[in-house]
Amino acid sequence: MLQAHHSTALNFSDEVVSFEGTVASVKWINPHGSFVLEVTNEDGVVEEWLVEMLARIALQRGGFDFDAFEEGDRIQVSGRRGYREYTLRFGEATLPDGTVVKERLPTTQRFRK
Amino acid sequence: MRSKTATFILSCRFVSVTILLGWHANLHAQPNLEGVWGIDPTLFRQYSELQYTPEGQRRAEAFNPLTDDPSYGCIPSGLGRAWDEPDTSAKIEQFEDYVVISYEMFDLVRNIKLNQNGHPLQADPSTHNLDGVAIHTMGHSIAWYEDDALMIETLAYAPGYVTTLRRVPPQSEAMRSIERITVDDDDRLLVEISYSDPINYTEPLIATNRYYRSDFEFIVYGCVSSNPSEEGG
Repeated sequence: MLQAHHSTALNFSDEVVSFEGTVASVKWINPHGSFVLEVTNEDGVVEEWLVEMLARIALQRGGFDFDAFEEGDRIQVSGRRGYREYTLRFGEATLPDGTVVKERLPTTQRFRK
Repeated sequence: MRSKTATFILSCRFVSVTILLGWHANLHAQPNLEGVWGIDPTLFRQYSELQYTPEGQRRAEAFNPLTDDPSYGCIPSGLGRAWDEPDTSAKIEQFEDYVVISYEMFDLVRNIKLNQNGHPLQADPSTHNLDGVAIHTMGHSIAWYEDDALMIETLAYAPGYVTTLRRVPPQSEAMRSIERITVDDDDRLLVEISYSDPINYTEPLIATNRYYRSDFEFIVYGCVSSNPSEEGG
């Protein structure tokens, strides 16, 4: 998938991790959408993970459902672990009803030839 | 006194030469680059192999994505960063004596004068955002048409990085770039950029991107700056 604004290669490793947690806050903005996920670790301590997504403009053009989850929702998130602690590059989210939410760039519909 | 026949022959020659000149001029007519363009995923961010000077190598290795990428502050690191952007569109408008290239990303507007006698001594940035903030990392540009291409020369870059996507080739105040912008037979925009920077490179860095006409409306981006070191944890 195309990435923008800052390089995922420079900011995120290839290690894919998965967490379940509670959405604490959401920002649908440019140059990056993001949300904070509160995750309780094995020691019972709550960690705040910053989950980075594409820019709002890209999510919007890709048909992303901005209402898929909101603050207070409990979701499972997987993605690439950031080189900086407690950061994650969004891969997908699984909602309580099993719905899987992904980013999508409509490259095939986006351009006419 | 010329005869009528001689006058006719001369007239024919004049007409022929005029037609030929017109045909030649038409062959090299000013290209129509106008429109909104979105990146072609099959040809973008193509960079030649980086040939660093020792100083260029040092600067590239010194890059820290958390502190040295101005994208977090809604500022492009350099010209390449603006052209490399995959999520948003670029718009080109051609006027008689200038060209405007707008980039949706960070709401950048680049005003480029045509057919200048070199760059002014006080080479202020050609690019501003919608708030009027000058973008020093994209330098001062002048342009001209050459055959079927729009050529843009840019100098007076502020130090930074040509791009920060996947690679971080540094740029210095000594950098000079030449953009060659054409439209191919399939109505795709081709942007080829040569970056020369004797402080950082031993050979010019060549970048190539191709764009399709975009179906998306060109909109205000409305960037919100952030500080990555203060988020998460």
